[in-house]
Amino acid sequence: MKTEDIKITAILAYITLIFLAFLFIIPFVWVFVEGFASVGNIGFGDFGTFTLSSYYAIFRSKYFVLSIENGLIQSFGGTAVSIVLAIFASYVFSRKRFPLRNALILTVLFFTGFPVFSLLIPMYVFYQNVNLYNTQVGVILVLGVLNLPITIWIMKNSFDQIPKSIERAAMVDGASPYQTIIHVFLPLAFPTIAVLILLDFITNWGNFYVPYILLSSRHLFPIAVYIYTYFGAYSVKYNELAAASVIYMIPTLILYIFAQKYLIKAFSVGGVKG
Amino acid sequence: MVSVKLVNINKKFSGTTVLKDMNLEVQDGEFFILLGASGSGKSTTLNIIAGLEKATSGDILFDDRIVNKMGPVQRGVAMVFQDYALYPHLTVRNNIAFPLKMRKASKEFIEKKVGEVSNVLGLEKYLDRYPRELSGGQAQRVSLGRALVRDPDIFLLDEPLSNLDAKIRSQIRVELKLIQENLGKTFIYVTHDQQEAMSLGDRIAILRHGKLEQVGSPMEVYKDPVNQYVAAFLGEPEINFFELTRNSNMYSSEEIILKGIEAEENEITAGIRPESIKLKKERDNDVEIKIKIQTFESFGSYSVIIGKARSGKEVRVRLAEIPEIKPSTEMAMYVPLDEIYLFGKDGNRIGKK
Repeated sequence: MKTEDIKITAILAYITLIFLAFLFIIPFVWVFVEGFASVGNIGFGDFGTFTLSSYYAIFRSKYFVLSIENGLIQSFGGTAVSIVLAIFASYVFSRKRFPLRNALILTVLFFTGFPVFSLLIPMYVFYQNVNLYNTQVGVILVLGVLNLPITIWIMKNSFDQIPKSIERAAMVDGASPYQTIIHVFLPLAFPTIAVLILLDFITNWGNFYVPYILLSSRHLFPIAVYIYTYFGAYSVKYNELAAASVIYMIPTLILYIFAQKYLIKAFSVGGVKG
Repeated sequence: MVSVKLVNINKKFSGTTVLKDMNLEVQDGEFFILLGASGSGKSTTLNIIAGLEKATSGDILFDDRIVNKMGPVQRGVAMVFQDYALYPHLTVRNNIAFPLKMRKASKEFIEKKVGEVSNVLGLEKYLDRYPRELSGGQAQRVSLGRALVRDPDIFLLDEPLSNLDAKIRSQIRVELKLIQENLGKTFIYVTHDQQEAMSLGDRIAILRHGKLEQVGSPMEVYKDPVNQYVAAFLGEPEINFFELTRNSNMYSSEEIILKGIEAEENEITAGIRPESIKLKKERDNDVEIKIKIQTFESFGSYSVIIGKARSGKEVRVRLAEIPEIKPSTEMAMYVPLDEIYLFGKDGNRIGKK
């Protein structure tokens, strides 16, 4: 009786999971198939014959190639800003005691859940006044700052796990705080930092609103914004849109492959042991 | 070549006093032990000497030079930690080389130094291993190597042997003593283990609740403790205490009677070390104590009798020979009067010379 009950629950669970998996996979299947299709259509209709012409077409556009480049510059730039600033902030939060430390840490935590959009309009006005509107640097700074709170929060926690005695040993061995960060904290927290680079990059790469609002020139658009321009005024070329979307996914996939071993490490290893 | 002096050091952590008016002098080339139970402030004292923590008030002098505001590097100290504190991401070679790399020493110099140190400590075979691949004893040797490689003036050791098992512990203890004798440098060593303290130290400082109780050579503090705490802290098995009250011209308790003692207080405590209790009466004024044997432990070269005095108080007796005694028999044992320590109600020794 009992084993049968368990079997039934298991079967039900599998059915539900398979159904959900389908729901999530369908768009991916469509994007992938549509990119190689000769006919543009919504949904699973007549795809026509297999062709590379959509890919050929999108790469012929100078703006598309440029948008990949812009996307990479802005996403990696923003990631670099977040990571570099977070390293120093996390070190201070993790290791130094100063007045209002807890209040500041909680403020950082508060900003991790802050809605991006509420900041963008004032940012737009501000950027117009300081001539950062419609510049790569402007987007990089905003992306970097947006990810900063969560990056600090996670990195601080990984720094907290580095034993105090190792830091003291470094101090006695003659390492300055800066050298301690470079030679001790960074290597020891590297799995977490690798994962943070991945997470920050993915967030930036997928961020649509920031570049959309802060940029106006087509030659500065990152791929996230550029894909949107396929929804033209008169018609939508769905197969080109799909091809561009497939290209859009590639950098994320590559980074996942690189970061995979650190992802496992970062989430399984609880701390650093000597 | 450096001597260390602490003058009126106070340390407070958010209201609680950790160290109180600490005055201490460590001579140049001395193996100095800071001994105390946990929470006695011994590690804090070491960290203050190292420059890792700042004293709330007072001065630290290295050779008459005030170093209060200097960091560990300027003070020229090296430190060995209880949990080894090796850098887990570096090989043994790079762990030992780390202090020199921070100093931007030349590659040849680093190579030469690491070679020398690993030779002294017998670590050549392990140079390319990572800390996680080392046993505790090896890891602590690496940690020692990292201290040695810099040729510091002072070595600070924070319970370096506590995490090791007994056999390795005594082995490294000997190595440490030999290294210190060879280098002739000042070692300040923190421990809670009285055996370590007795065997390693040129002098021992006993700390309790952030206060210095006594400083002296191991035999001085053992033979001549200033108070009950020090007497109890040193010695294995622990000293036996009896509480006595004045009875006309003598002091007595259920267990023993002491005659011809000069003390002002009416209630005193007598401390008798386990090895002071003998089976035979040697002198007329030896103090008699009747003990009912419960059991005894034999350690080969000596044995410890665990018995009960008339009052039911547990008494330990350490004998060089292994006696033929049966449990639950009552025996009369004797203690030479001059080997009995007397303490007043405040715990301080009465009649200490």
